Amino acid sequence: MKNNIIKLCLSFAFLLTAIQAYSQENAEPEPDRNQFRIGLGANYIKTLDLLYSPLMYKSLRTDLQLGYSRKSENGIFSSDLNVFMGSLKPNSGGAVVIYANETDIHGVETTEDMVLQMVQIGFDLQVGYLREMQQLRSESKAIYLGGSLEESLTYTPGFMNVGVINYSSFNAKARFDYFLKNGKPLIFELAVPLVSVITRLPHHQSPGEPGKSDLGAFFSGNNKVATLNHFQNARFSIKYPLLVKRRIAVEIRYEGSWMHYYKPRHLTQAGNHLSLGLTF
Amino acid sequence: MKKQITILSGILMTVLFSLTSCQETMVGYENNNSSESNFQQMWEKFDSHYGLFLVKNIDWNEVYASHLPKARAAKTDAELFAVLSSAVHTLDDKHINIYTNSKQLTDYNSGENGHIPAQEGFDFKVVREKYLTDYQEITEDFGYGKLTPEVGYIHIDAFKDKLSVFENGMDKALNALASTKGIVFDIRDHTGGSDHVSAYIASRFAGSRKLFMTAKKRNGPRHDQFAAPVEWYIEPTGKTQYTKPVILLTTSTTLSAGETFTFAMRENANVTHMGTKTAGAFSDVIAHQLPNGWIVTIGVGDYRGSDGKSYEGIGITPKIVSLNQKSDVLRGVDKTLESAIERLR
Repeated sequence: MKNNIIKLCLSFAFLLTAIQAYSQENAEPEPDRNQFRIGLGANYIKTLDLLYSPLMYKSLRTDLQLGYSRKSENGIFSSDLNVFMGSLKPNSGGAVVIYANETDIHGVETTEDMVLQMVQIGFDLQVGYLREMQQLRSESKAIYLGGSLEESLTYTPGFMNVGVINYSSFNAKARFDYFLKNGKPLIFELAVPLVSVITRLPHHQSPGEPGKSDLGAFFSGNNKVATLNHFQNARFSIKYPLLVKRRIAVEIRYEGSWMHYYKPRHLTQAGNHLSLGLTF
Repeated sequence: MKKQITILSGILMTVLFSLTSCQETMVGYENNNSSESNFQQMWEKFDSHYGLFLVKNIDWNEVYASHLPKARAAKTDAELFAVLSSAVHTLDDKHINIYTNSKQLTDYNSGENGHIPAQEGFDFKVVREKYLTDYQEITEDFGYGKLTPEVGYIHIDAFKDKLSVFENGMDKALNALASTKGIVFDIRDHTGGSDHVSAYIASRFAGSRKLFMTAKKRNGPRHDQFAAPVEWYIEPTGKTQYTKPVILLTTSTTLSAGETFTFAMRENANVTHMGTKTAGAFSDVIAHQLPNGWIVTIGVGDYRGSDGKSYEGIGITPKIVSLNQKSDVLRGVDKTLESAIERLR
């Protein structure tokens, strides 16, 4: 684990240096008060959900992001919606294939193969505010602290509901803007949930009640309040505007994430998310 | 600028790939795929989730003690498959399956103590080709038609689709069969699905509100730990209700939600249950994967009829018992269906 942290730090240091080296000096960003963002991304996630399997699964989720932010003298209000979908496969290979023997009335036996095509769908909605720490501002940096409210649902329909979770969290957030020589900011963000309402499948994994849809039954009686010691969902991101022209910017963003919850059995996920966004 | 974008993208991809390499560590992944570990995981999952230990009076610890040495000794997939099959056979439950990822081993059903056998007393093709007119297929699992101008027919072999499919389908079927003197409702090859659909369709034949089932599901590690029982009712539902005589046909292949539907239909005063005893596997089922990739299915509930009795492993006996012979079915004759038609004329 220590090696991984060192690896992570070195990678970002390398990235920072490289960006400085190749940045253009004449591309001054013009901060807008109101900004809209549309983005596309890919998130490579490893999931271990002991409720369903001791095997690790991998997914490559593609996502669409929509955002709005308003920058004032004191801080930044932001709201972001991310809708995603991606197939889920065992880490060691392709889709899960199992076999069953069938016999017809004439006594003819056949072997049927059943391919379990698992797909994850979901969304993540965040509304937050970051206040600038004016006393720490300098020509080369700006620091913001604040929080966000987040609602996120990941759903895997079908035979095996690997990775299904809903959480509504109050997150602590920090943002660090480092202004390069070209005037462009390199933006680092860190978010950690302080308190969350987590919905996982119940112990029996089969929520079904008369008069309620599957989704309604999922949210009935399965909601638990969890603090940081039981639900961890750390996300670290780095964002850089590649192209800035008047009121439009094309930005690239990387986010690393790690999530863990322990009930009814442990669910752990680690993700690497890369996205391109258009801000206007 | 193009060069800059290319270099930055390259750097980011490098970061991405270097981080993906440590993802396995970050999720704490380690998998012990020994025969003992596979047995252990299967035994534990049943121990914590199977809903019928008390109903079936099973000493699961004894199964552990007797099978663990065999699991430790299992050197091949075939040997492990035999040990796991033997362990779950003690539960004698048609809802329990072991699905392997081997074309040679395929699967095992606990209640059948082997593969699921062919259904010999019913073939829907025979009904479709020899008896039905005006057949309308709503889905591949659901259709209706007429056996005579006065006797309607509805066939459903699974409740897999969304409830709305059955809502619309039942509206069409009951409209089309409104003028009949009676309906044969055929679930002789029903393999299960949603209990919501069971309750909904049975409610289309209901004259009053009645309890048809209570269901409780495991919510803890002890064999007697269950969530509060949930009561399921039928009550007049939908645009119209068909309250004229209905004959419900079942066989030993009628399973799971097919059986909860049988529970529900039998509460309606206008419904007569005919055929052979149902499979005797009512509960909701979950799937769990073992370290070697095999998948086991586990019934997590304890479902009871309106009389409070469990019919797990027993099945529901029809009021009128009628068993088709394989030889009749093979020559295109369905005597049970013919008998049902006579009763509704």
